[in-house]
Amino acid sequence: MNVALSQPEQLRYARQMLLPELGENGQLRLKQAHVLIIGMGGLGCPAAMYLAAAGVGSLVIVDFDTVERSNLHRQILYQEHQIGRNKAQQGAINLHAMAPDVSYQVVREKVTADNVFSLVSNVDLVLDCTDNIHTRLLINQACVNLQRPLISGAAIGFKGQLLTLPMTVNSPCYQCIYHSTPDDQSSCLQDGVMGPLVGVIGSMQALQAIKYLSQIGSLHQEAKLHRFNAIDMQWQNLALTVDPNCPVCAGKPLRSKDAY
Amino acid sequence: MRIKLNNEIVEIESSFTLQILLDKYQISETGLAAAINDTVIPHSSWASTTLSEHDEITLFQAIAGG
Repeated sequence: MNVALSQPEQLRYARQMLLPELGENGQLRLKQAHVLIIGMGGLGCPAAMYLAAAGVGSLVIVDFDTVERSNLHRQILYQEHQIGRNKAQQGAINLHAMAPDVSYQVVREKVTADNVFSLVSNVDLVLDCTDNIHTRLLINQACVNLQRPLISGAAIGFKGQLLTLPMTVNSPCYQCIYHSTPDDQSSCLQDGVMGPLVGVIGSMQALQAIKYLSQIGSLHQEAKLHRFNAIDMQWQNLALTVDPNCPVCAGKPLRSKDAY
Repeated sequence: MRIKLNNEIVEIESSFTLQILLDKYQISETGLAAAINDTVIPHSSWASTTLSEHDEITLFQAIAGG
């Protein structure tokens, strides 16, 4: 890839490059970045749109599912006439129309123990935008083993959670926080979800990703959990610590200082 | 002594650990995370973490939707 910014790119990203925290260096870092977005639903749509618009060089977008009419109140990348199309495929087409400089790789597969490691190993950063706990645990395991930073979003009803896990020596993994997880999680299908709420959480995943990739702030050192209640508009910011007995990350190279 | 449990003031004995608190209120541990004063306490430390006067305890569930 040509690393320098073209004239049209200079113009397209001018308003964010004006920010001293980003500047041209940060923009070049974004251009060289490879980001994996797993799940192109209510979280994945805004996350992918903002990352594409911001000029992240390469997006790998993963979804096996098709667009349904009942998705459209929150999955704002898709249009009425695209019902029935695969979300990753159609998502890439719609993103390309909006931001053609970005390279899109489409994966129309369910994430399983067989493909999660190869997906995660090829990128700099992973966004978990999935809708079920089983896939979340698989993604966490792969990010721990391959030491890839993970930005995990979740939303149901009027509640949202945003987890930023740099996967460094002192940063916990998903299962350091949630030691046991129920088999049968509530879902948007059963319990409903507010459209703009997933927009807030998905947008914040993109914001964290942009900051991480362009090295703005302290995300590389510090794991954080942000909880949002959309009814009373309250955020709670929580510090996180490693569980030395974590079933996933304890004893892994991630926890060894030799790895760094 | 008094603590706050999910923003409600409750009275507990000063010897209470986080684990004893959960047991007393019969709170299911499945998918549960617990924080004291905005720091999440890993599960393996629940039984050894003694609560202090005015601690603010937050209990919340993993959510998976998206």
